[in-house]
Amino acid sequence: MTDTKDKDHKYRYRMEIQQMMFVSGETNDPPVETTSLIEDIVRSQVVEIVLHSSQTALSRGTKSIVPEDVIFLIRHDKAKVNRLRTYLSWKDVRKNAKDQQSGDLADIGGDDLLDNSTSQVAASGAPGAPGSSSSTSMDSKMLSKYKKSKIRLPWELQFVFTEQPLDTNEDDAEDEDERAATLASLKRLKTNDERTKDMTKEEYVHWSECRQASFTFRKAKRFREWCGLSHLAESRPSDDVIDILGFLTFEMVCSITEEALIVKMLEEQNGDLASSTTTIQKLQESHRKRKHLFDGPDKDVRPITSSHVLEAWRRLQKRNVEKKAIRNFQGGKLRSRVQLI
Amino acid sequence: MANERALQYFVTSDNQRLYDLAVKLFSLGFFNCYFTPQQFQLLSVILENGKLRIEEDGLVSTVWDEFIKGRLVLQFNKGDGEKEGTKHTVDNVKGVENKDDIELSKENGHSPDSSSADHDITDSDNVGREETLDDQFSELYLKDGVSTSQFMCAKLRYLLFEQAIDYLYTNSSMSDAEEFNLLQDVDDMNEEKEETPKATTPQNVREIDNDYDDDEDEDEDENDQEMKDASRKDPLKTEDNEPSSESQPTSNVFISVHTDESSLSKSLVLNLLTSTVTSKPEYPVEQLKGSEVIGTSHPLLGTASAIESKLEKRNEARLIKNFSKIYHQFDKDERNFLKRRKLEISNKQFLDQDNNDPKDRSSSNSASDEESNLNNSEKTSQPSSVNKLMQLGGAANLSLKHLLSKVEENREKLNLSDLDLRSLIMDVRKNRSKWASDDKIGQEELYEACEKVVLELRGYTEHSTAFLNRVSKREAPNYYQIIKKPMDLNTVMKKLKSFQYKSKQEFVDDLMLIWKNCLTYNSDPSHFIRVHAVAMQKKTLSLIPLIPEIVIRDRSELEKDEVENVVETPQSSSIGTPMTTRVAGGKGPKKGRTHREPPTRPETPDGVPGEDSSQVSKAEQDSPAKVLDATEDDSSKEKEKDMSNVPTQEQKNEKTEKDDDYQEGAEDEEEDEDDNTNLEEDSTEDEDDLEVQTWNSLTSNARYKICEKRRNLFKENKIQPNEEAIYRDTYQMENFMHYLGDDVRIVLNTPMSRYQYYDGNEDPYLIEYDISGGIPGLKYSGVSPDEGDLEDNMLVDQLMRGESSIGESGFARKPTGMNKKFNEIIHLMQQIRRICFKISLIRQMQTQQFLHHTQMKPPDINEIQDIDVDQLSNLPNRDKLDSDVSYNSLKRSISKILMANGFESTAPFCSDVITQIAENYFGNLVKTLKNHIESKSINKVMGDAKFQKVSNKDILLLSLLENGVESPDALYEYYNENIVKQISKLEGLKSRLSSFLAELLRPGLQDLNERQFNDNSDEFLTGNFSSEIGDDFFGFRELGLEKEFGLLTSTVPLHLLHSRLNSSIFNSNHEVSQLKFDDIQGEEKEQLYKREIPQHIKLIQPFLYNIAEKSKTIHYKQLKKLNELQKMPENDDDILLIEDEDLPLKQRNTRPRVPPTGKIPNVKKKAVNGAYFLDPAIFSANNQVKVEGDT
Repeated sequence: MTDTKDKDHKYRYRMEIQQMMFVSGETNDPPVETTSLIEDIVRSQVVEIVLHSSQTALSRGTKSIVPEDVIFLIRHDKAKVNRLRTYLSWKDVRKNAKDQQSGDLADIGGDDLLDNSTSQVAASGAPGAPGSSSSTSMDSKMLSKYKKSKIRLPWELQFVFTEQPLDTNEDDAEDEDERAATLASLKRLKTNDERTKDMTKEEYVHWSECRQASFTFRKAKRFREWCGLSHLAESRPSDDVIDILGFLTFEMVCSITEEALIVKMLEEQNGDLASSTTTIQKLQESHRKRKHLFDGPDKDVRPITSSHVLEAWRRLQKRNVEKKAIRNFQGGKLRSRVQLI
Repeated sequence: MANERALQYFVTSDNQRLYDLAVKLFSLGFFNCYFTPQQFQLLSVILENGKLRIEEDGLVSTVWDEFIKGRLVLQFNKGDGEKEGTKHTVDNVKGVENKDDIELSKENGHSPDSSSADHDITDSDNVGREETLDDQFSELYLKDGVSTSQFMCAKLRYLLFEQAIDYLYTNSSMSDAEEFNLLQDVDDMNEEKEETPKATTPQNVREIDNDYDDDEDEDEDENDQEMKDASRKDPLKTEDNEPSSESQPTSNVFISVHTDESSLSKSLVLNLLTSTVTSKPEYPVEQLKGSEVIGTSHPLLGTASAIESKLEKRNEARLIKNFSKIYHQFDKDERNFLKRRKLEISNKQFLDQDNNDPKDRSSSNSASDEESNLNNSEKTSQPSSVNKLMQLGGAANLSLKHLLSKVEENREKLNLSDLDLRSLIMDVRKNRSKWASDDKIGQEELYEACEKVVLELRGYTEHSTAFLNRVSKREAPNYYQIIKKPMDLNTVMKKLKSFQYKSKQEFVDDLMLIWKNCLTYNSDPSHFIRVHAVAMQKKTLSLIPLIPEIVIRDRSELEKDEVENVVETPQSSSIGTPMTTRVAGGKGPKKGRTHREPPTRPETPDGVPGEDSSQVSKAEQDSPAKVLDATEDDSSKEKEKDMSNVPTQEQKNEKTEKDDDYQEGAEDEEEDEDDNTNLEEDSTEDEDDLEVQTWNSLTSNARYKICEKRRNLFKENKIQPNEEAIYRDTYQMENFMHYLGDDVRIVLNTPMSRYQYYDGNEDPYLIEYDISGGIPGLKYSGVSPDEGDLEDNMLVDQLMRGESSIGESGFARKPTGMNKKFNEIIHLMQQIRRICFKISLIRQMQTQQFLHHTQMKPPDINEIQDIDVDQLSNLPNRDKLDSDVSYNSLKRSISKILMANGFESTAPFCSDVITQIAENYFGNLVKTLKNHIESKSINKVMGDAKFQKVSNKDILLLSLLENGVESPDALYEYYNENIVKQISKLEGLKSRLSSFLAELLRPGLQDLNERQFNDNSDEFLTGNFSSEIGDDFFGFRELGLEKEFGLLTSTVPLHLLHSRLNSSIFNSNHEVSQLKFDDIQGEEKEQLYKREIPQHIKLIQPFLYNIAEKSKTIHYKQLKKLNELQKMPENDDDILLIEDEDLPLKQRNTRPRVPPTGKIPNVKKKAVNGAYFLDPAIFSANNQVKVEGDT
């Protein structure tokens, strides 16, 4: 009894992780071990993020973590930064919309606004998203208006100088990055589209539910407890930071799942090659094409196991060549540091 | 020719010829330097008797034959005590006859020895002592038996073979005739000898003759001795006498055949009297070019050379010359090292003790100095002119006597007063030695000399180690029973330092006591330490004459005497010779005798007769008289005992003794074992070999230094990284070359050695120890720095004058590619910075009333310029890739990159660090590349068609990959992202900023032309826009002031802008609102008085009353300022309510500004909350007021 309680206490996000994994391509129900392992990994990453960002905050002279501190840690992954930016700006939009049109515009700021990606699908005009039926002209007008209040990061070029220009409405210069980011997200949407094409209505509902899975959304308290935030950071991080962490955790689970899927695929290929019985099996398989009711599950439906996850983790942690190049010809031990995924 | 013939003798090993050669060379004085005096004497005896033929018991041989074959047995007879010993060996008839001979010669033998000592010591009181010392000094160190003769034989053979040829050759090369003669002589003799073997009978006759002559020889021997005496007085004469001595066969030798029963071999025994050998040898004249050698002084004794005979000096010099021909082994280094170290340790101990009482001395010195100055002025009357000079410096400056006499001689030529001279002399005197004392006359000189002698003795490590410190009880438990008055070199030194010696004699007594003690304690004549003692004694004796005969006297006493002298014999100290006029020089010795104090120590062995055989008894005689004044120093005693117990190889012959010694040695403490084992290696041969000995003592210090250095380097069996490395340098190479090229003199082991030679003070160059320099230098001497500079200057001058041109150096940056982009970026950034400055300036103007002019100073921004860092590196004589220049060039580039990334400045340290990282990275890149290119990998060289050879492109890609560049695309991407894009971003930023600036400037320049805002708003700051507003903005030109103000006209307008900007920022809103209300013009604003307030609605009345109060105070203040208080309305009701806009700036409510979004966020909400309705007209009139009220 106590054991399970402890376990429960330790692993609280089984559902969410499962949903996220589903979104990123794992069609089967992953076993508890896998989700627990992923949860551990994610937690360690969160701890890492919080510690490092509080360090940067400290070097700035404050104790409280601001969003910039967290973004600073992933600044090299430009695509991720851009995704995060759009996410944050949408969050901003949503907040403002809520504030402003508290009562009147409630219907407009409905589901679509909450689910930013779907609305973005609508904005970019990609057809086939059934949920975006109510995307009105007003919606898009609002988007174009509020998109401008985008987050500026302190290491951008303009902050090199003492004075910054007023935010004028000409953003032509800097949306190249955004364009790249949108390109990437479009690609994602495309694959999502592919996956959802043949879904039934119920399936799609499930899918969209899964997409909203988050570590933090409406469960900030649980998140704080889960990763022991009060122990890690001296002052209570703002909601923005928690939101960013939620976004990043989602990304983590996605990337590790994707990597694990690749690992699994390779393993199966290799297994096929390696096993001497493949030909016979294939023959047998070809022999009985018909499936019977009580046949065992197909090979494909094997879920991701913890070994896959571990291998994926190893791959993601592989040190970059760039980082160690400076130590060439000098020997000595490289100090390793957990890399954020 | 000569050489070839001479070689023949050695090839055939013809004893007779060798003999002839030896005799010849002997007479030429060739062997003078190669043997110790005793050996030399022995040799002369052997040569004299060489042809003696002995035919007995089947042994037919000559002495020479036996000698050269190494079979000659030597037997030394000491005198009466030995007689019986000799008897039993003597089987010959001749023995009986020789008995008298021995007795006689013994007596004779004494006289020359003592006389030789006498000439050193003039003091008659000490003759007896000297005699005893001399006995010990002349103690025989050659050994009975075969070994000595064998050694001699080997040495002789070696000398004959190795050296004789050279000798003959160099000598004969002087003139062909001489050479011929010499050879002829030898040949003649050979021919003679060749005939002799045939006639055996004459040989026998000859032998008999020889025996027969013996009686006569006695007389002749006496004569000989007398002649020797004579020769000692005049060394030059000896040379003349030499032939005669050679011609006479000595009688104190007799030959016997001894048959060894056990081995059935017969050997020739040569019986010798000790005195024969120990007597001082006279050397035959060397037939050398004398001038060559005489100039060189004794290298070891240096100063002592004064008393050495010229011959001895010459011998030394000859030996030294030959050093380069012998390769010396390192066998004795360890011993030498240990001894030297002992000396060093004892020196240190000594210094430590010495440091304890330096104060006393210094204080006494300074005190006496002052005293002397006083004395100078007091003394006035001295008849002698030199003495007058002496006064100037005081009587104590004896050391300057030569100078003073010289000065006096030339006194007329000097235009100096006495006072001047005195100050000069005082200057000179400042550098006096530590011994100087004004109270003690003569002390400085005496102690100077004594110190030198002690140091010399201490430095004579070959023999001195045993005598450095006191003998400890542990070493020799019974030492203090036998020796009642111990003495050692360190004690002597201590006594010197504490000024305990009053005269030379005391000092000498102490020194001699050391050796005597040693000889007394170690009475066994074969004990090795005696050799050391004797050697030290000899050395001491040679040094003693150097010490001046001075008795130290108190100044006061001396002055008293002087006064007496002056009174009695005013003329006695005449002017004629400076010697007599000097206080100590003239009177010192004289007074030394007259004022001689009785010997301080009664124990001087006056009554002890010089009986050499009764040393122990003598010690016993001494003992009651001796005073035990010495404190017992355990450690030093231990050392002495250690030395005394060490078994040596000398004792090999006497088995029993050796065993005893071993037992003793076993009883010794552990710590002694080191020394034991080391000293055991002492070998008699080395002791005997004069050449090796001299070399040893001469080089011991140098060798010690070298060994010490090497030892430190390899301490604890590993290389000590902090020690100085032994490396090859140019001067050592030079020394080496010198060494090979010059066989006359010894090359010094110092960098300054180019044309200097060994002079006794410096270390000699030792080829055996030169592990690093033994390689000849390069022929090419290289370009000297001066020449290099000259050429360089010439080239630079040429370049400056434009006569020659050199292209850009490799460090020049081309204005293309990345460099261009970077420059562009930096330029853009600088422009943006300028704009930013303007913006911030305007912001400051808006917020602050006044601006200090320094705030308006634009930032100092330098345009980046690409200059050729080191164009001169293209000169033909310069290094194209000097590391320093390269580094700095790289640093420059890196600073540029930093600038392009937004840094305005960096700390030098930071840029250095980054440069070094870059350097490291590029180094890695190149190393990787090199590794791949030079790799012998199979993949690379594989000729198999399947594997394609790795191309250069692949190598490049691979090395890039290994250094963190995954593909060239990454580089291109970087270029695009960080450079090309950066430029466009910067340009966009710049345009936005400049438009922002224009916006900011707009309100202040509304009345100006709109054209100015197009782009270059620079004009507003630099004042260039004066052209826009009319040239004569200030009217200066009109006033004719333009020239006086000059630049002013173009720089001032910014200040003028200030007020305009400042006010405009506050007025702008008003104007804008006015513009807005233009549409509803016509509606006059109501003037509201206080009395009218109740007419308004009640809700607003409190607010209006509030304003009324405010207005009242403001009115009051304003009027007060204008001193028009009387204008203040008396009735409160008449007060006009002030509109917001009319309030003073401070009290005015800041208007909420419209945010950039264009929406006023809260108005609507609150308007709704405020749910009351107003008349539209009233609302429009009071709109602003209400808004303010709400906020």
